[in-house]
Amino acid sequence: MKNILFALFICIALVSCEKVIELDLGNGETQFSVEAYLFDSFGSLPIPGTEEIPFTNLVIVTETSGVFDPFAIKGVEEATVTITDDAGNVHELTSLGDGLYSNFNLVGEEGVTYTLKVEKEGKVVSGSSTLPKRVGIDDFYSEKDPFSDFDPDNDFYNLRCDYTDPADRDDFYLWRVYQNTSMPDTGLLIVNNYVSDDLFNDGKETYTTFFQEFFDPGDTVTMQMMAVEEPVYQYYLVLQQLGIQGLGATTPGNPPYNMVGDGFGIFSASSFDTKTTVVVAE
Amino acid sequence: MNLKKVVSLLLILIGPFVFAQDFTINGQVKDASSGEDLIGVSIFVKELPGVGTISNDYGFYSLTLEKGTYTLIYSYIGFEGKEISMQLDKDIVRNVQLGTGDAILEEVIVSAKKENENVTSTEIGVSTLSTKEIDAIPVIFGEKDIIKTMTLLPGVKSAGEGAAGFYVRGGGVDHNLILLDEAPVYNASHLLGFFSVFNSDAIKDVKLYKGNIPAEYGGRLSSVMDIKMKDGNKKKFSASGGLGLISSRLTVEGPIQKDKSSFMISGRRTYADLFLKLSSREELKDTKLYFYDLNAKVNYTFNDRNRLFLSGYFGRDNFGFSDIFGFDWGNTTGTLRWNHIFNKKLFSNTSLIYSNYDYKFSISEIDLEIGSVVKDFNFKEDFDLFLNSKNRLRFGVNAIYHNIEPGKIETADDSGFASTDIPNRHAMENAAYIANEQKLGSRLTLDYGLRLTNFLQLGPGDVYEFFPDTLINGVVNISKIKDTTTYDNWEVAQTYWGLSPRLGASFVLNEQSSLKAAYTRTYQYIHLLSNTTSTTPTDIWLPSSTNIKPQISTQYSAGYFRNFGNNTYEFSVEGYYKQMKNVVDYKVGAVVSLNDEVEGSLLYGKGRAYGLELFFKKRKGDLTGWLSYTLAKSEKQIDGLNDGDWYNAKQDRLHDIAIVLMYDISDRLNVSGSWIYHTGNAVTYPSGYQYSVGTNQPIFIYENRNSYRLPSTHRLDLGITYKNKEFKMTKDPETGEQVKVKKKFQSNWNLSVYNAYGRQNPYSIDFRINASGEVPSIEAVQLALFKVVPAITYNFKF
Repeated sequence: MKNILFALFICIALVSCEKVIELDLGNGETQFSVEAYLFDSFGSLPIPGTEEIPFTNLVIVTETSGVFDPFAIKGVEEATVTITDDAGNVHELTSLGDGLYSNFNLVGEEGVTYTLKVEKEGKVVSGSSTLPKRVGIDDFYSEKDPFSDFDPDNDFYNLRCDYTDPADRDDFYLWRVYQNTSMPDTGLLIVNNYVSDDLFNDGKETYTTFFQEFFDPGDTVTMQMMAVEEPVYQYYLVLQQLGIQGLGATTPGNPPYNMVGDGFGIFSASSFDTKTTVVVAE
Repeated sequence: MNLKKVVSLLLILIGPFVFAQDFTINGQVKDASSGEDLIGVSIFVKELPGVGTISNDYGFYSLTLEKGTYTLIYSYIGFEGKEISMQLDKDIVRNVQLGTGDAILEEVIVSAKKENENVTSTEIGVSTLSTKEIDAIPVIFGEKDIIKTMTLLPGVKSAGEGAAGFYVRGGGVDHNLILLDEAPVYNASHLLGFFSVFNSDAIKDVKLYKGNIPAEYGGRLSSVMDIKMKDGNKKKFSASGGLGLISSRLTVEGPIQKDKSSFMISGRRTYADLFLKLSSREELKDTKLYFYDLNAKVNYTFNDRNRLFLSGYFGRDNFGFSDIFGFDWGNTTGTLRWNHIFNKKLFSNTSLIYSNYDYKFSISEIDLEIGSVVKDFNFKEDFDLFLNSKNRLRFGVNAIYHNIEPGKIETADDSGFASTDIPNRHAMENAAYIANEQKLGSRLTLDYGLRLTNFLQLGPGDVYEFFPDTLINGVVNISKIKDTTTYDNWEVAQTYWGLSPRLGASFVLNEQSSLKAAYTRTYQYIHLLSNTTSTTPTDIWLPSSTNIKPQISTQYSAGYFRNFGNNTYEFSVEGYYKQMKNVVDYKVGAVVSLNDEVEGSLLYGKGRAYGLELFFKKRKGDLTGWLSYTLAKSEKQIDGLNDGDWYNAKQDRLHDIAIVLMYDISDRLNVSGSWIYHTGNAVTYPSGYQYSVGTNQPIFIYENRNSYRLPSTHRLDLGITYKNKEFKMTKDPETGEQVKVKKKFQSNWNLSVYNAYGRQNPYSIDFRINASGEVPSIEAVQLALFKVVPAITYNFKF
C-alpha cells in the first residue's frame, strides 16, 4: 500500500527538481554502536572490504561518524564481547579485526534468551534477544511482472519467495535480497532489506514478492529470511519508514534500539534461511 | 461557573431591555439580480447612530425600535446602498433587494456607506475574501482556489507546496473545521493538496474564524472555515464556466418557479491524465490521474415563513494503472435545511447533515481491496433571536454521530492474504450553546456565549487498555494491549464533558478606529492521525476514546482596527496567545493505517502558540490589494519526544509575509500579482550516523527535534485578465438612437504564471550516499516541486 502511495507521489514528483546543498550540521559526540546477529544455523553477511565468511554469530562494534564524514565503517578494536544464555553460560567472542567479533562454537537455539554485552574502557552497551521459532523458505523463483504487458520495450521480473506462516502467533520476518555480482570483495550487492509481519496472512501458505526494475534474465539473486522477534522487527520497520524520503516521508527520529548503555545497538537472535535463484526469461 | 448561573446572569444582563414598548421591522435582504440571500448586510438607523443590525446567514434581519419615523440604511460592500424611510407605528415586514447597478448604463457607483464594518463589528480574528479577490489572485495552474487565497491573509499559513491544508495561529491541519453548507469536509484537498475541493464557481460566501469563534461552532481547536454554496439564481437562467489547461468547469443555475425555487449545479474535472495518453510510454498511457467535483443545490420557498434547502457535494480523486490497481478517495456531503421564521424576532434553522470521506484501493491480480470510511450523521437546530436593538441572542443544539471504519481488507481466499476488518469506531458528539451580542452604550459591544459539549464513545466494539509507556534510549516503545473490554450496541465506554466560554468585546474609539479583545476555549473530539511530514489521503480520523483524550485550546487575542482616507485603507494589528492540551503526536515506528492497536503508538502533550498579525489593505480605486505580515511561534511539549523538552511544531514559522496587488489598467484589462515569503519549516537533521552493515546504509542519529530550518520560501505569482467586449451598440427601438447595451455573453481570458522568477522552494532536504567520488560520502539533497508554471484559462458567463 505504501508503495502505491509512493508511486502516486512519484507521478507528482515528475515535475520536481533536485539539487545538492551545503548544510552546517554540528557533529554529535562519537558513540559506540553495535550491530549483532545470532543465528540458529550458518548465515552470512557481505561486509565491504572483507571476504565473505559463514558464521552463526557476528557482532560488529563501530564508532559513529559525523554526517558528512566519509561513508565508511569505523571498527572498534579491543572490546570485550560476551553472549550469555538464559542458563548463565557465558560465551566470549574473539576479534576478527575491523571491529568484528565472533564465537565459532556458539549456535543459537530456539526459545533461548541471549544477552549480549560489549565493553571497552569502562563503557558498556548491552541488550537481550530471544530466538523465535524457525520458519524457512519453501520456494524462491522469478516471475514476470504483470506491468510488463504494458511496456513492449521492457520486461520486469518479480522475485517471489513462498513460505508457510505458523498459525496463531505473531511472526516477524527480516528479508534481505542480494544480487550476485562480480563485486571485488563479497561478490554480493544488497538490493533491499525489509521486514514483514503476519497481521494479514497469519497461518497461511503465503509469500513475499520483491519487485525491482533492474533484474534481468540470467541474474543470480539470493534471498535471506530471518524469523526475528518483535523488537528487532520494530527497529527495522522504523528504518524502512525513515528510508522513504521526500514526499510522504516520516518525521525523522531514532529507531528503537534494543541495546542500551554508553552507546546503542541492535541485537537480533533469529533463524536463518537462504535460497538463490536465477531470473528466467518468460 | 455552572450553567444555571450563567443563564441567570444572561437574563439579568438582558432583562432591563426586554420590556420596552417597541415595534419591529423584519425581512430578508436579497441580491436584486439573482435573488440570492445576502449575508452580513448592515442595516442601520440614520436617526439613531450606533443602532442597527446585520442580516444573518439566510439574509434574515429584524430590528426593534421605539415608535417613530426612521430612515433605514441597508448597505453591503460591492452593492449600491438603499435608504428606506418609514413610519414605525406597527410591526413591519420589509424585504429588500440590493443591486450592483449593473443594469444601469452609467458608471457603477458603489456606495456602501457602512464601510467601517470591520472597525465596528465585534468580530476579531475573522478573515473574509471577496469573489473578486478570489478571481483575480493568481494561483497554480490558473485554478482559482479559496483555501490557497486565504493563506495570503495574516494568521493563516499554507502547509506548503504538495501538502494539503493550512495552519491557523499555530494549530495543526486537523485543527480547522471546514464546513460546506454546514457539513464538515474531512479532506479538503485534491491531488495531495495541489487543489482544494471547493470549486469557487459554486461558492457564495466564505468566512474564516481564527480568533473569537462564535459559540454556534465547535469541534476543532483552531479555526472554522464556513463556506456557503450559492442557492441558485431565482430570477433567470445563467451559466458560467471556464476552460483551463488541466481542468474545466461549468455552473448552471436558474429558477424552477420564478422567485419561489431555484437550483444550482456546478461541476469540475481535471484532465491531466489525458496528456499521459499522448505519451509514447505504454505504462503512462494506462495511468489514470484525475479528480472531479460536483456541487448541487435546490431551494424552495413555501411562504414568507418557510424555506427548504437541499445541497450536496460529491468529489473524488482517481489514480490507477490500467486494471492492475486503482486508488481513489473523496468526500460526499449532503445538507437538508429548513428555515422557519417563528415571528418577527425569532428565526430558526434546522439542519440534517450527512458527511462522508473514504478511500479505497484495489489490486486486481490478488483481488485485494483496502478501504477506510468516516461517516457522520449530524443534526443541528439553531435559533436567532433579534431581541431588541441592543441584544441579539443565538442558541441551539447539535448532535453528531460518528461512524468510523478505520480500515478493512478484502481479499480472495487463495491470495496468500487474509481478509481483515478493523472494528468500526462509534461516537456521539453533542453540544448546546447560547450566545448574545449586546450593545452597551454606543461604543461597547459584547459578544458572549457558552457552549457545552459532551462526547460519548459508544459500542459495539472492543476497547483496549495499554501497558504504560516504556522509555529506552530516549525512544518510547509502542505499547501492547494489556486488557480488552467489549461493549454492546450503544453502550457508553467513555464520556467527556467540555465547557467552552466564548467572549468577544469591541470598543469603538471613533468612526475610524476600535479596540477588540476575545477569549475562546475550544474542544476537539476527533483527531487526524498522520505521522508523515505531509498529509496523505490514507490518513485516518479517530474519535476520542478511553485512551485519546479530547484536545483543548484556550486563546486570548486582542487587536486594534483603524480605517484611513474615507475607508479607502484598512489597517489592523492583532495579537494572540494560545495554549493547547492533549495534542497528539506519534511514537517512532507508529503505523497509522490499518492498525487496530494504533492507540498504543500515540503520545500526548501540550502546545503553545503566540503571534502578532499585521494587515494593511487598500480597498478602493484602480489599485487594490494588501500587505499581510505574521510574526509567530508554535511549540509542542510531548513526554517521550525530544527528552520531554519543548520543541518547534512542524507549522512553526517566525515570519510570514504576503503582498497582493490588483490593478485595473482599463475596464477590460486587469493585472494582479502576489508575493509571499516565509521562514523555512522546522525540520530535524541528523547530528551523525552509524554504519549499518546489514543494510549497507547509514542510520542517522537525531538529537533535537525540529531544531533546524529549511531555507526560506519566497515566490511571485502573476496574473492578467483580459475581458472580451462587454458592451455592444444597438438601436434603441423607441428613439432610434445608437445605445450601448451590455452583452448577454461575457467572457475573459486569464493568463497566470506561478513562481514567476523560478525560485526552487524547498519541499524537503534528504540525505543520501554519493558513491561517485573516490570515497563514498553523504550529501544533502534539496527537493523542489515546481519551477515556473504558466497557465491559461478561458472563463465565460451568460
